[in-house]
This record gives sequence, structure tokens and C-alpha cells, in this order.
Amino acid sequence: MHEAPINMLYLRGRLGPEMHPAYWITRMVALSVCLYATGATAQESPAAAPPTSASAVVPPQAQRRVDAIYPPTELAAGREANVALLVTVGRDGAVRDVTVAESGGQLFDESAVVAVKQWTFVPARRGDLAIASRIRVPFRFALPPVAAAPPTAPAPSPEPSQEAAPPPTPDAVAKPEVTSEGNADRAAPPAPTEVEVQGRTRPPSRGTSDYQLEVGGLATVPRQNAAEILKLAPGILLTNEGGEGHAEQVFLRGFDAREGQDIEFSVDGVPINESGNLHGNGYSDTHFIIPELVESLRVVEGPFDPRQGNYAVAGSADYHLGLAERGVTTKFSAGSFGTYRELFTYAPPDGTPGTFAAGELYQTKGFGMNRDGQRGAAMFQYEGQAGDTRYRVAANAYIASFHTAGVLRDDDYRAGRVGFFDTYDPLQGEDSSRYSLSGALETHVGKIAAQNEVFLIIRPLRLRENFTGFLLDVQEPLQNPHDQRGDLIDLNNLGRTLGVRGNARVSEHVLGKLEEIEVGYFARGDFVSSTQQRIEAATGHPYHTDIDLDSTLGDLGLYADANLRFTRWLAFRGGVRGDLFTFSVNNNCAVQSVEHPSPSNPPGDQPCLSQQNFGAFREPNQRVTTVSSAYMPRASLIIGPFWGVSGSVSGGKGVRSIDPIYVTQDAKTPFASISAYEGGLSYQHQISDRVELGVRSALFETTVDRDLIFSQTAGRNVLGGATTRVGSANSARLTGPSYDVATNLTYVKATFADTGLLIPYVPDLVVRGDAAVHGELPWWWAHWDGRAVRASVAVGVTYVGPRPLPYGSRSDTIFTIDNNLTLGWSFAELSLSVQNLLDTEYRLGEFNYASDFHSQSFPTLVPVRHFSAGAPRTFLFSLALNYGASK
Amino acid sequence: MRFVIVLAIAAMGCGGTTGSSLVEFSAVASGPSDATGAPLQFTTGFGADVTLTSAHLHLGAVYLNQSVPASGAASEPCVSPGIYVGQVFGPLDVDLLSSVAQPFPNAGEGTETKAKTAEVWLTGGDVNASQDPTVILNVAGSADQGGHSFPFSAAITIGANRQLQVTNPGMPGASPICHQRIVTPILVDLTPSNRGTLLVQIDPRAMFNAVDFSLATKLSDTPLEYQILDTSAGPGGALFKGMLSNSGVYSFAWSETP
Repeated sequence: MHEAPINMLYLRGRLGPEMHPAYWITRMVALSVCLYATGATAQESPAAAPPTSASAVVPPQAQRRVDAIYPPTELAAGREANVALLVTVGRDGAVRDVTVAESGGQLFDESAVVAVKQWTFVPARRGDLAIASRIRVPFRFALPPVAAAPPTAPAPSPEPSQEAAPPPTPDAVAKPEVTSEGNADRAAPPAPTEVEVQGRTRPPSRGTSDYQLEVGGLATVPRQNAAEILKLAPGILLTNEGGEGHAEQVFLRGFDAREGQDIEFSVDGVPINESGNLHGNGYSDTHFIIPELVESLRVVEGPFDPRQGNYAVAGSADYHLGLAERGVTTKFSAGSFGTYRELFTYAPPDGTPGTFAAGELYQTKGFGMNRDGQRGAAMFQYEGQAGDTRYRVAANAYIASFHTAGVLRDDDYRAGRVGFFDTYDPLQGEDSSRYSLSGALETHVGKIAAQNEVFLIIRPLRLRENFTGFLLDVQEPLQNPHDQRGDLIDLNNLGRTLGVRGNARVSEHVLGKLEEIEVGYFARGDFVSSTQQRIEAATGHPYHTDIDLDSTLGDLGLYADANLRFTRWLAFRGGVRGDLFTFSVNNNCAVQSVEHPSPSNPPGDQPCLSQQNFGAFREPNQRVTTVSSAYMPRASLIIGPFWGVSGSVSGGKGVRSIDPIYVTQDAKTPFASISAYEGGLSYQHQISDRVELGVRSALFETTVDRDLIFSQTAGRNVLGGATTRVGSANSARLTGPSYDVATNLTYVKATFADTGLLIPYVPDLVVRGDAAVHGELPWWWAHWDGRAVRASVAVGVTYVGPRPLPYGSRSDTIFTIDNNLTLGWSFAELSLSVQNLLDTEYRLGEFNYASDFHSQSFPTLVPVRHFSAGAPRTFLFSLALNYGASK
Repeated sequence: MRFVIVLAIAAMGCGGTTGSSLVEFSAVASGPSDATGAPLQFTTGFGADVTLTSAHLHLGAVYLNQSVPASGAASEPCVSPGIYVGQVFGPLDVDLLSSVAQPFPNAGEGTETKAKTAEVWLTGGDVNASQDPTVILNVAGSADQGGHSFPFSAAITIGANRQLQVTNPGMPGASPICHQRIVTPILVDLTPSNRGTLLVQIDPRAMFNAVDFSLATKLSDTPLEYQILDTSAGPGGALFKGMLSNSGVYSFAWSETP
């Protein structure tokens, strides 16, 4: 997470006297280029920026202009029109998406669109880096005067009225002097006169492991949810034994980050990590994000940026939302296992990608027993501007309900007692929802840019999991005699989060170099009610309360960050962050056992007792409060680029607050402290105007003084000992006009510091590849009504090496291939996604621990292999229709 | 090149270990090592000279623990999840007069972790079931005690006849029936591995140490026949307690397969 939630830059200036002279048939009235920097480059170079602000954006410049054709029928009818197009210019300078912002009528619109799609640009740039942008291109279709004016005299002529100027025939049309292709019947293209740049600045890169991931052409690679976009960053493995809507378990650079507890997640600056969530402090469920709305993602693998706050142990990931496809889009999907999905998006044609509304409904019967699920999500966001202040408001709602198969014992599977996709406990599942509101402001006063954001999140969660079957419900002496009732955990968590964050950045030229200082703050309060009960398998009734907490948690963070350039090739970026954590935890079930119970008033099966030894009364609750603080220096030294190669050295400390259940009165909160160091090289090369290559490689070491280790008996992470991770992360991406290829490989050795033994479950080798090829089909039969059929083929490949498991064993490898084929024409798009193309029977998660599911004649009490099944081959057909935006 | 090596090592899964390992092993049970299949003769603590002509013990399961457990002890749960490093499931009716290894029907499994104690589960099914008609111990023979001869037989079960009464109403679950079915802690010193065999030796002689045959119930005079009743008191109770003795009756050994 960084502390620049909106980070928008607004600047206004002139590009120069580049007025286009061609104005005979048509004339350009004005051109305002509204550049929306999408904040998304696939492999942003961490190189030291030139002596301009790292956030300065240079707009795109038209390189090849093709004139619009004046529609003959309109010309004959003497009609004029104004058409304004919103054009997305890719990092390669190609026109990616065109929407009609201001219609002049169908024929005029089509003519303008056909023309502008043949334009090419020198792409917009931020510093040395090409970035995607969105510009506004107006066309003015005006009738010529009766007597042709000289082509080099484009002075506006009075618009003829029907009376004054009868409609000319095409033959009467004078020819423009300058057009790209010299066609007589073409409208002269406009040229930029005034530029309005609106873009989000990004925090300066922290080195090799600061990944600015643009989804870009890889959007067509099949991904089930927004979390899977994380795979574009090196070293990330996602597993999920919790079901369709359960937060993905994330492995990153040797960390078993569980459901996000070790990664700081945010969406446009709004935190996703749930402080105080009983299932895991920092639990992060990203399913509320509609994948199509993810425009880019910033992943920082390591605590190297002072903007990163709590939970940034393995790193941070900030989703940036945007919708390039304007107008109204409806998408219907149907596929294997009774899966249906409906998606509706709306984006005003003249708005920025940051303005949109979208809704999603999804349901599936699931690929095996007890895997059905339903979910719905709605997301709204509006970006606007008032004077020099930009603002954004966002709201979203998400609800989901699904069942979960959980894990299976390998010995039961091998003995045929259960099937690969079966379940032991059909009561497992989850009911989840999330509602949030946020607003952001950015103002610029002189050399200071200030940003502030406020957010409110309400997050109910009910989760039912059974990892151990009937292992844990032993007959306690206090309890009445009973049969085993089952270990199904029924966890309820209601989190309410209110927070603000902001920063102010001042930029100043010193000795000819732009230096930047930023100070920022982050504050959030979490008010969390959480209970965990055990459910009786036979009746579904709760029979025992494990935990009942009411927690009030506070986190106030302050940071200062400097971006200092010593020379053109040497920059220092870093600062310090301090966080103050407060905990006030009321344990409503503080006493669960008593050594000498009252014989006259035995507690029996009551879990939350109101008596002490020999029946002495006490309230069953206990309140605990404490406070603690952490100071975390972070710095990066960035050298280069030299011939496209940059080097970086980064170091930093991070912190993760602990679960409220571990808080002890007045004891310093034993949060985990992290130290991370890395050195890396990156290579960025613009092979041609439209082809770009980025390669990165980093060596890293991370130590944690108090790590989290998952406990199946507790159903959550529990505190463990100190750990160390050493490894290498490598990635490459090649982007061209019709292809986008990305691959990454991470090798890491994660060990316990005291024994040197491997940390279980953490994959030491993760390889991921994504590739997409797209373009218009060249054949004659693939053109209808003057429009070509678009096609794309995408593939995603995942390989995960054998993961170390407890008790010296290794898991199976995972190798999956996902594919997508898309055909589009005009406003329609048809696609087929196939996940797990080879139909590999693979185990998404494997675990060694003890469980007793009553599958054998005697209690099974020793650790054995368990697994959660990966999905079989799955087909999904989709039809998308877009209205109100031309293609 | 180094990268390729690292990749190859990782792919082969040779990058270290988490310690210990999951193991599967075979398991057998037998009578004492000096048993030959012939009647077993011994003298009890009551001074009875006993000749056992038949002795069978029904084993439900055997567990190995890495720590001296609270499990099974009075006022503690019968099962303490987390301490178990080995398990072998029966059922197995062991001929206690034979020293021949009698294999369990199922392979044992566990972890390569040093075991310090063991548990023997004497049950025909659910260890918590209030009723269990399974004859756990079936013995016959004759005893000479106080100058009298007691041809006897006994069939010991563990069901409601062994249920202890609740003495502290504040702890109604302090004496579950499973306590009567689990022999623990039996001290052991072994580490399960994939190449070994667990040997459980059961010596019936120690079961009779406190049995007073003079209190046995006479079934007939001709032929003279006594029965040790399946009760919680008298010789039946003594034999039951002898069967549950955690020392002298059960011993565990580990043998590595070459």
C-alpha cells in the first residue's frame, strides 16, 4: 500500500504552434487533448528519472494522420457535424480503443472512427517511460465555401446556411492540400493546440521489485477473479481450499501470506486488509473487485516504500480501477458445471476511465461436491474536476454465498473411500459481503500537491470450515458425557472500518534537478465483533463457543519520503514511517475452564464461565488494552540507466500487527517485525516505436522475527518463530502492437532461523507465463460492413514446483494451462475460455496434519497427507455487446 | 549455468527439508517371548500356580505418543490431539500363548518422531460407546491356590459393566468409559520409520497378579469348573485391572528391516 491514494496530476500547457494547415473541406475548431495516464506500464523502469518530476507526463503526439472521409450522402445533403472521439493510445503508440464522446450522426461518427483508428502516435511518456493515455480528438465536418479557398488558408469560414449555400455535390468539393493520404474527400485531421493532461502520479519506483503491472493485452488471459491478476508479478502462487468466494491464499516470495495477512492490499488506496478479522488479522478478500475493472496493479515485493503500512510483510498490492471500454457493455457467460455470469458496465463516452459503473452476478454448481456458489458485485466510481481540484467518489457492494468442499485425506482417496472432488462436511461454506464508500481529493497549490482520501468499509463475514473432522471435540471433565460432535468452525466477523489517508508533496529544483519531499499520514479505526463457535455435525447447532471478541483497533501512521537525485544516474528514494497501534479487546469468553468447579452449580457444557475456583463468581469477560509503536526506515538507491540497464539496492523494515486474541494487558504488542534487503537489475528497451522489452532480476533476503504459521486445529495462523527467506525473482515482458508476453520465475528458500528447516507449504519454485496475440483478421471474408473481425488468443501457464510439507515430504507439482479465444466484430465479442486445458488432476493445496473424519474404524490421530482439489477442465463461453462506443 | 542448477535442484525438490517424515510400517503382536504355544505356567501374587491353556486378547488399536500424555489419565480427556506419532489399527485377536508374530490387518502409519509412550486400545469399536459386547480377554486354564484347584475360564468385556460413577457433580465427564478401554501410558523408546516393524508383546501372566481364584464362581462340580465373572469387583475386577496395567503386561519394541 502506498500513501498516495489518488495521486493525480493536473497540468496545462501548449504543445507549440503545430497547427495543421489542412482546412479546406473540414477544419479543426480546436483540439483539447485530455490525457488520462492510466498509471500502468507493464515494466516500469526503476531507473532514476530525468530532471523532471517523476510524475510529469508528456502527452502523445500524432505521428501518422489519416483523414476522415466526408460521408458522400451527408455532403450531398449539405449536412455538417461535430464529432468528438475519445481515443486510447497504447504504450506502443497504437490506437487501442475509440469511443464516440460527441456524436454527429452515425455516418459522421463512423467516418471519424475509421480515420482515427489508422492514426499512430508517439506514445505519452512519464519520464522515460511510455505510458498508455486517453485523448480527446474532435472532428469538424464543415461544408466548403462555394468558391474553394486556398488549401493553405484554413481560416474559419462562416458556416453556410442552407439558404446561403446549397448543398454541394461531391464533385464540387475542393480538395484539401495536406492530408496523410491525399484523398480528396477526407476531413483534415486535427492537430493538438492545447493540452490538458490529467493523470495519476505514481510513487517513484523503489527498485527492481516495484512492479507497475498493466493488464493491457493480457486482459484476455483467463482469470477467475481479481486476485489472479497478481500472478503477473513474480513469485505469486494462489491456492484456495476455502471455496469459490473465499479469499485466495497467497504465497509470495517465500511467504505463506495466507489470505493476505502478509500482503498489504488496497484498491485505489482504500485498504482491503481486515484488521481484527478472526480468521486472520489482515484477511483480504478481493472477490468484490470485478476483474474487468482492474486497469493496473502496483506490486511492491518487500517493505521498501514508506507509504506501505501494516501488513506489508511480503509486500503490497494496490489495484487501480479503470474501464477503457466506454458506453454500455453487457456480457453473458455460461460454462461448465452450471456456471453463469452476467456483467453490466457503463462508462460515459466522454468520461475518463476512472468513471464507470458496473454490476456482476455469478453462480455455479461447482465442479464437485459442495462447491456451489453465488455472488454479486456492484461498483461505482466517478472522477471529476472542479477548478484545480480533482475528486473521486467510489462505492461498492458485494455479497456472496457458497459452499466449500474443504480438504480430503489422501489415504481415504487412495482407498476409494472418497472421490477426488468429494467432501467430508457439507456444512462448510461462507457468507460474505462488503460495502464501502470512499472519496478522494487532490489539489495543487504552487509546488505542492496534496491528496486526501476518506473511506468507510463494512464487512460481514461468516465462514464455516472443518479441517480436522472430529479430532478436537474430546470429552472434557467439565462437560457432560457426549459423543463427538465435530470440529466444524462457525466463524462470524463483522468489521467496520473508518479511515483517512493523505499526503503532500513538494517539488523543487535544486542545482538543476527536481527534488521531491513527501509527507503523508494514514489512520484507520476498526471496530470488530467476532465469534467462533463449533457446530454439531448431526444437528447443525452450535455446541461450543471458542472465541467471542469485541475489538477496537487503531492504527495511525506517519511517513516522510524523499526522492533525491544526485546526478542523472543516481537517485535516493526513501524515508521513514512510524505506526502507532492501539488495541482494546473485550474477550466475552475469557474463562472456559475452571479447575475446581462448583459442585452445586456445575458449569457443565457452558463455554464462557462466570465462576472461578470452587464456584466463586466472576464476569465471563475480560478487557485488555495495550499500545505499541513501530518505526520503519526504508530506502532505495537507484543507479542508471546505462544503455537501458538500471541497478537498485533496497532495504527496509515492515510490520504486521497481531491478532487481537494475542493481546495481553499492558504488554507491548508482539507484532512481527520484518527486515528485507534486495539488489536487482532491470533492463528496459524500446525496440521500436511499438515494441518494448522489460527484464528484471532481483536477489532478496527477508527475515521475520515472529512469523505466522497456519494451524489446522485452530483454523487460522498462529504465531511461530523467526524465519528467513533468500531467493531470486525474475520477470520479463515483451509488448508489441499485436502481442503481449510476460513471464516470471521465482526461486526462494524459506527456513526457520533456529533450525534451518524449511518453512512448510511455501513453494520454492514458481513459474508463470502469460501471452496474448490480438489483432484484426486480414482476410476478406473477415470483413463485414467495412469492419474487420478482431481476434485474440491468450494463454496462461502456471508451474509450481514441489512444495515442502511438514514431516519432510513434498507436494506434487502443479502445471496448468489456461486459454482464451476471442472473436469480435463491431460492438460484439464472443469468447471461449478454457481453464486447466489439459484436464490435469492436480492438488491445489496439500497439507500434512492430523485429522479424524470418522472414515476409518478407529480415530486417526497421526499426521497424514490432505489435499484440496484443483478445478478440472472448465469451459466458459461469453458474449459481450457494447453500445454507445464505436470500435 | 548456476541458474539452471538452482532450477534443477528446486524442480527435484532437493532444496532442504522440513524435518522428520511421514512413515508407514508393519506391526505385529504376540505373547511373551518365552511362550511356545503350549500352556503357560506361572505363579501369581496371591501364590496361585496357574496354567493357562488358552489366552486371547482383542486389540482394537495401538498408538504411539511423542510425550508422556495426560491423555487417558484420570480427569483428562482420553485423546490429546497433537501427541501422536504412530497408529496401528486392528482388530487383532492375539494368541497370548504364542510368541509367533501375529500381524495387524492394517499397516501402521505415523511420523519419524521418537515415541516415549504407547497406548493400547482394548475396544471392539467406538472407544466411547457405552456398550461393547466384544470379548476383550478370553482366558482358560487352571489354578492351584491354597491347596485347591480352580479350573477356570473368563471372558472380559468393557462396557457398562466398567462404567465408573460420577463422584464430583462438578465434573460429570471426568470418568468417560474410554478411560476403561485405554491402557496408558506404557513407556517405550522407539522411533517409527519406513523400514521397520512394531512389535507389541503381551504377557498374560501379569494380568493375574491380583486375581484371587478362591473368589471365583463355581459353575459345576463335575467336571469342576470355575468362572471369573465379568464384573467390576472380585476376581473379574482384578483380572480387568491386570489387563489395564501399564507395566508388566504390554511391551513395545522396534525392529528395523534390513
